[in-house]
Amino acid sequence: MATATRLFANTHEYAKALPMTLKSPPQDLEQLLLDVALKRDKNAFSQLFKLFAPKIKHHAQSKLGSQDAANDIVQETMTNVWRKAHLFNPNKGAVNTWVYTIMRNVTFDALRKIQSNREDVVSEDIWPLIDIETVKPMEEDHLSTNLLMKHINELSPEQQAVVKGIYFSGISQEQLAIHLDLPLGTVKSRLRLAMAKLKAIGAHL
Amino acid sequence: MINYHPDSQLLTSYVSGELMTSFSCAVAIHLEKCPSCRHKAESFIEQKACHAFQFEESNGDSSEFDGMLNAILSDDGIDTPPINYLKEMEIGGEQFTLPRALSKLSFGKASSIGKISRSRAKLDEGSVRTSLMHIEAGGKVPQHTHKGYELTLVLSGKFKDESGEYSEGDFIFLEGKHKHQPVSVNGCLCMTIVSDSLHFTQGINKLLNPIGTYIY
Ligand SMILES: [Zn+2]
Repeated sequence: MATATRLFANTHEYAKALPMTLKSPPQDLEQLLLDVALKRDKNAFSQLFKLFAPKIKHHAQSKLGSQDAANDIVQETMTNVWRKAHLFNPNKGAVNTWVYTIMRNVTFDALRKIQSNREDVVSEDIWPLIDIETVKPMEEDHLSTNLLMKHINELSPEQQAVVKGIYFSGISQEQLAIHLDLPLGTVKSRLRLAMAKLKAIGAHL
Repeated sequence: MINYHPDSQLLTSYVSGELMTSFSCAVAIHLEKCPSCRHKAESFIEQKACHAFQFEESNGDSSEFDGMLNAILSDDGIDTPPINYLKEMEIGGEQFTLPRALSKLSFGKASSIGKISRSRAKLDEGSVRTSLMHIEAGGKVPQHTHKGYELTLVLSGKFKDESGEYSEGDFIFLEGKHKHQPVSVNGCLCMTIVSDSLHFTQGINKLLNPIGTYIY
């Protein structure tokens, strides 16, 4: 069984590099983001939003010059954090880095649009948010992923949290148990039930 | 074995999103093939993130963003993991699957001279021209000189010139006046970025997104 120490091993190292004045240590950020990912916790998101929004605006203003353009970057970056939180994998890096990545991608596409009037979004191909397997053109795959998401959204919130944590965030069952504050056995049985239900409603797994 | 890598300055600008699209793609492709540069880039981005998000005791007033926060929270949808389709392309009579970074770029029709075929990427980067270059087995690029700079990134196969041999993943950045004559014994596909601009900008600045540099 994983301990909290192991779970936060990489963020501890990261904390050493941060200034002593840090108000919100990375562990808290990670807990907040996982609460957003697994429970769609609006309060946790609001806390992240209040920490990050002013910083993102400051950064964007130095890149884009105008206030309005900077506000657009804040809005798009934080919308992505809200909508893609389940793609954050705490084993791959810190929350700071993940948010930076999203902000960088949004800013890159915005600059590119100003510069060449191109609407195509290439940042996601240059800096993919997650290591996904790239596939050769085949429309069916795309459809079946959308369908699978539809099925997952039909599960109870508790079951969704487990399925998303394991399959999208890529964390282990032990880590998930710690984050959801549940016994490991409960996580395992929830996952089993969720998978059975997905099969029953016709999802291709 | 990859022997030619982007330097640290280039990697830092890459992780900050400051490079123009062509160079961002080229560095991304190199990183996909080069674990040691990938490792470096990861530490650079951690530093950048750390710098951008230093949370002080007094975290200023964020009430100007209240409306935005509510708007974001009013939509409870989530994004499905994106699916990336790789682009297939025929050039020089051979079929290639392009790296992920190039999958949304459009390329012009390939034009061939002898064993050399080139297809230009439609990127609108002024005097900076990006293309895919295919050399058929036994092909030779006639000796040429560049005034600006030239990046050659090997996507598959091998080629050599007067200074050495280059294979998949090699990131060869040449600037200033140099002459060379690439030859490929068994054929290769490269991505090239060439600038013959007479308006020289020195150092890393010439590779940065012009809007970004303009505002700085
Ligand atoms: Zn390298």
